[in-house]
Amino acid sequence: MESNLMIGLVCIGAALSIGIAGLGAGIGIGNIGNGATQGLARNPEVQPKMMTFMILGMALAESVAIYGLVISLILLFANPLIK
Amino acid sequence: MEFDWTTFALEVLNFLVLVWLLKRFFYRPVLAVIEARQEECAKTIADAEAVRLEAEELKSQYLAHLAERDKERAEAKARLDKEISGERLQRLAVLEVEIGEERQRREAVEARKRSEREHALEREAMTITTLFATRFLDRLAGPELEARLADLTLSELGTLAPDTLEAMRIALQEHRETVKVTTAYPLDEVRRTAFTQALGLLAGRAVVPEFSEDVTLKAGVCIIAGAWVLMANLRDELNFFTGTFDHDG
Amino acid sequence: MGKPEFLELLTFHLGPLYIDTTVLTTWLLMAGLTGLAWFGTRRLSVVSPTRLQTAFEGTVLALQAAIDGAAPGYALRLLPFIGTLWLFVGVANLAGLVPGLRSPTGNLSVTVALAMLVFVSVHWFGIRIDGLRAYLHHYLEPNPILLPFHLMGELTRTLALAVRLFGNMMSLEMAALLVLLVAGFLAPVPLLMLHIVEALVQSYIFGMLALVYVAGALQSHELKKRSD
Repeated sequence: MESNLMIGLVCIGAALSIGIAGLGAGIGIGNIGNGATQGLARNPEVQPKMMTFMILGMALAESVAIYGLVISLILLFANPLIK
Repeated sequence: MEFDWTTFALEVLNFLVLVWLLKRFFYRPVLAVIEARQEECAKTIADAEAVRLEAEELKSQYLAHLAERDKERAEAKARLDKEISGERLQRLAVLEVEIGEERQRREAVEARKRSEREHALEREAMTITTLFATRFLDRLAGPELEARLADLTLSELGTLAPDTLEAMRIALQEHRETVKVTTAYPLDEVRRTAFTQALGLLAGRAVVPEFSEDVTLKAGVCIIAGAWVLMANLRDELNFFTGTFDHDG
Repeated sequence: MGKPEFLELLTFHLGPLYIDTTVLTTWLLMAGLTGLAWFGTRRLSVVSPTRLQTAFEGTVLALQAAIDGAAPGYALRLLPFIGTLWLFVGVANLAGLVPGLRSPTGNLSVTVALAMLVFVSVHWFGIRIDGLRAYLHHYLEPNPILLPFHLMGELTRTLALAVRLFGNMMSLEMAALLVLLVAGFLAPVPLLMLHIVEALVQSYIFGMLALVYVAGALQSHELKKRSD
């Protein structure tokens, strides 16, 4: 019973981990896209250079979500506290 | 998911080996070939630049050559122009002189031709006049005219110029026997005597002239005393008129 | 993780070392890269390059230009390390698309090893180029109070580098697997297309971040030289 509760709590924790991390990452990526589009609208000539920075920034923001994902995976599959 | 030290160590090693391998087999040769190409490009560019410089030098030389040639040509042309103009002036002067001479000559020829023509016209006119006079006189001629001419001659014999008189006297004295008095019609006795007296007076001695008739005289008297001849007849007068122009012309 | 692995049959023990499929895949990729490089650079010609040689030259020039943009003047010194990072991570990420193979970068040990190498190389290049004193001095800039933050940053960014690559690659494979389980055959194909883009982007990011870290270590030298 206690074990079942533990598993449920771990699942909730894992979901919250990826969920909240995804929330932050989504906000970040949205900001980056917003800024890139506005910059591009003002100065279309810099598109190639801006594209590089945009993708780099998006990947960095996304990596935050990936951290959350890793944590959730650790919680689910390699939890040191269970067993 | 699980962390494996063996894999970790081997991967580190692997990556370092890969770095070395790629450096050995990839980066170094490719960079070398890129550098070689860049060097070759630089060399080609330098060669091209050298060729260009050479070409430009040649071009400038050629242009200088051309300019020099142009200058020479201009000088030669100026010289030639000067020569030509000088020659032209000279020729013009010569030509002008020649033209002047030609004009003078032509003027002279013209004048001569004109005078000749005038003379011819005069002569023709004279001939016509003479012919007219001859015909007129032919019809006019007759014993009356003869008589009057003989009287005129007789009166003139007394009023001749002194040198003529002298020449006549000399001729009469030299040719005593051969004084001939020719008339167109036979002279009457009165006039024969008058002539004999006049001639004798003129010669200063008695003269017996031979009287003869010649129809061609038409009318008048012709006195021949050796070299001295006195003509007072229509034929000789007419001949004298026509002849005077020949001698004058 | 449920995917069939033919290389599993070839795993063996070398003394105390267990040569697993990840290492075998890495060796395979290394052999492939080196073989291609050797094959392509066998007959290099200045005048009439082959297509492969042109591709190689383009690759090297692109890498050099990218490195030169971040760390001007050090492109030739950093090219072997950073360039190999890009090439290897890219190929390793794409290897997951080959049936029977799994991305070596989907293994935490590999990404940690690569991040460790980046961590070490930052100090290596910093000390080699700046000199030990100048390099260590830049940890005290602009204020010695910030030293713990510098050290913490060094560790966390290395860890982040490793976990980012690992998480991306593993999550992509796992997502494809989950879609396969849920939706069935051929359903994860669009996801695998995304995998291609993600693999290239992640390899670019990994190399770029390593380059930025190394360039940051060189920056102090540059500043010092400029102030002189």
